[in-house]
Amino acid sequence: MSDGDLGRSLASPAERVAAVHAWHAGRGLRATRRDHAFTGYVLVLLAFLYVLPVVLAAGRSGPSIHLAELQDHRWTSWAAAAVVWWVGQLLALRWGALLMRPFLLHVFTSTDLRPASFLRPLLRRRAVQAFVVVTAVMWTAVVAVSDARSGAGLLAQSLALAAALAGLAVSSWLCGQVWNPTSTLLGAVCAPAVLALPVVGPWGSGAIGFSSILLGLALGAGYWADRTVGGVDLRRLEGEVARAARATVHARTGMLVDALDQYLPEPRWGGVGLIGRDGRPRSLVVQGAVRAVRTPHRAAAGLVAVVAGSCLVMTGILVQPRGAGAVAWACGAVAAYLAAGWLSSTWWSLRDEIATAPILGPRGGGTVGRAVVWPGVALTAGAVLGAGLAVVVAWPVPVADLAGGGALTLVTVVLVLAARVMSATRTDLPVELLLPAMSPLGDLSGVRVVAWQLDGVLAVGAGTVLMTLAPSSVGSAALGLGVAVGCAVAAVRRSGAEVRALIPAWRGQGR
Amino acid sequence: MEIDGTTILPPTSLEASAGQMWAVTGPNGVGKSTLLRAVGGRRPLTSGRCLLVGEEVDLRRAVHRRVLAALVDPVPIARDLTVREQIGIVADSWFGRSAVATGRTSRILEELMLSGLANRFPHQVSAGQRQLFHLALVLVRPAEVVLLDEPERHLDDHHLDLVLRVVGERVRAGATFLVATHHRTVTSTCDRVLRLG
Repeated sequence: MSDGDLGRSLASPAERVAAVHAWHAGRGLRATRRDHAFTGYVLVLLAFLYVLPVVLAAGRSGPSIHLAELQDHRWTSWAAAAVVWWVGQLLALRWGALLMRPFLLHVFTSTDLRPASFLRPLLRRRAVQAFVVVTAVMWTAVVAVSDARSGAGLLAQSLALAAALAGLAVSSWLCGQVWNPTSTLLGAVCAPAVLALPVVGPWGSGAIGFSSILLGLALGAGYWADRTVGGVDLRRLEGEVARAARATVHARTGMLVDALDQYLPEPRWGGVGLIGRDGRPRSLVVQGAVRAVRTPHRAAAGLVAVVAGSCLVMTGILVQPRGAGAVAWACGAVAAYLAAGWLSSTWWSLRDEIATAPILGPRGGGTVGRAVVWPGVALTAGAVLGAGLAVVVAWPVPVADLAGGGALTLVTVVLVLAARVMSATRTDLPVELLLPAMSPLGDLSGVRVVAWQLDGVLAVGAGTVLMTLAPSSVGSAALGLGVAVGCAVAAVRRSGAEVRALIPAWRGQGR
Repeated sequence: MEIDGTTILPPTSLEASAGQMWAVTGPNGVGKSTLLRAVGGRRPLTSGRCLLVGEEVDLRRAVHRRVLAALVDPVPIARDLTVREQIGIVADSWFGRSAVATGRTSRILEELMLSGLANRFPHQVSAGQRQLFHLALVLVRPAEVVLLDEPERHLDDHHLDLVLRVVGERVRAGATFLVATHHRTVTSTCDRVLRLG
């Protein structure tokens, strides 16, 4: 077929895109009207059972935000808008608006169709869907925590505020995938400056003025994303689509950890080996450090997180381990937990070793020991640095407080490590978790499965909250160590070993 | 072409005209697939040029995507669509919902003896049949330059002859084929042979 013949027989771009979608929509797994109706029924049920009680309870406790006085909290509103923008961009890095099935993208990119002809309709559809959903969620949250139920005017203001924030979130989500990495970084840096416009600009009365300007900015960003969607890097999109498809398969089979593993960076800088020049393995600390440096951005993020996290922990303890101090302590512990994962790849080795048969004989404490040495050293060093920073900022600090705070920070590090070990020893989803868990609120088996997936971070959060509630430092430390021991025992049991059997093994390794 | 100082494709010169079938042969790791990826615009050259219809190959250009078809890297397939549906989608992506698309789909299925498997899902066919299916996904679309990496993979002699017959028809119609292969039958069918290494 010559090019001229081909040109005559080709359909228009719109017809071609529509034909592909028609084929694809007609496949066997397409949701029926009954499926959609069932989804709607479940959503309504969830709203009545879970959302409505929360909104009513929040309403009884009094409003935290007075919409009519929003102009008095300009910079808080600005900070909230900036966070919404960043969250949208971060989400797009992992799950963007242009994700589709790998086969469909391959079909489209193998044609001479302009990328905009098949990406723009998808972008617009996803933007509308996301805007509706996020607005509903935001409005519910705003109504729950504000005085929006006091009158129709305030209710309208709350809707405007929710729509503006949702528009901002959706447009940043769109831009996060359409823009190239440099533009995305630039957007993240410049967004706070642009979002300051509604703060310094004409505010008007209540939330309407602020929301209007915010919505205008969101529309501008969304329009920009729509105009530039044709310039998307298709090679990068192909990689993101393939990765998302693999992650979806893992998530659907209940392995959230494996799904998240798809987003781990590829290691590089393999020049420095795990084996020394004399042919002997380097020490566990050096091996851990070498493996961490092979993913430099991730390790750098981990370093920042552990220093900032331990600084927060120490600050929380020194200020007052209640109220704002308790929040700082808990947030710091969670940051340290995330840092433990980013700083070390030994957790993957631990999980792999646990999941495979012990062909070289029974496992001893060495498996866990090898995994813990490097993150233990790195976390402790980072915690000392962060806690020291907090002390410098809060100086002068009484010696007793210094000793108590330091000890509790170290206990928090131990708790974080134990929770990480517990999380890393999680293998396949236990079938018994799928059994019904009846409660007055209905079947909570789904909640149980989610808790199992997030066991490490939940253990850290719960353990820290318990520590803040204890009446004394000694009690806090004892509670923290108790939760850590519980995590360690759970990890050992998950690995299939007996706790008692491990003690002689550890002793044997010590000799 | 080099990666971190290691040569993955030595300096190579090749000029293929319309209606020619070229075989690229050589030992493993010599750069056959890399050459196809370079010609297909999937891997940038560290030095030299690769021209397609007289212009530097660039898949961002619609005309180059129209001219070029390739089966070099693994093709993502849909598990929930039958063989016919997937080939039909590729045809529709060029010709829309039309008699031309339906005709091309039926023709390639017959040519590659896939008609009996048309309503099966990809996991319900053998490795050789899957290779035929992948070839059908490439050959059902219009193209002036076709890149194939080891088309003989998993195929017996009979089906390989079948594929070569279909490729031969396309070549006689004016298409240019560049085929990386280890198979003597494929090499002997080609007009020219480029030996690497």
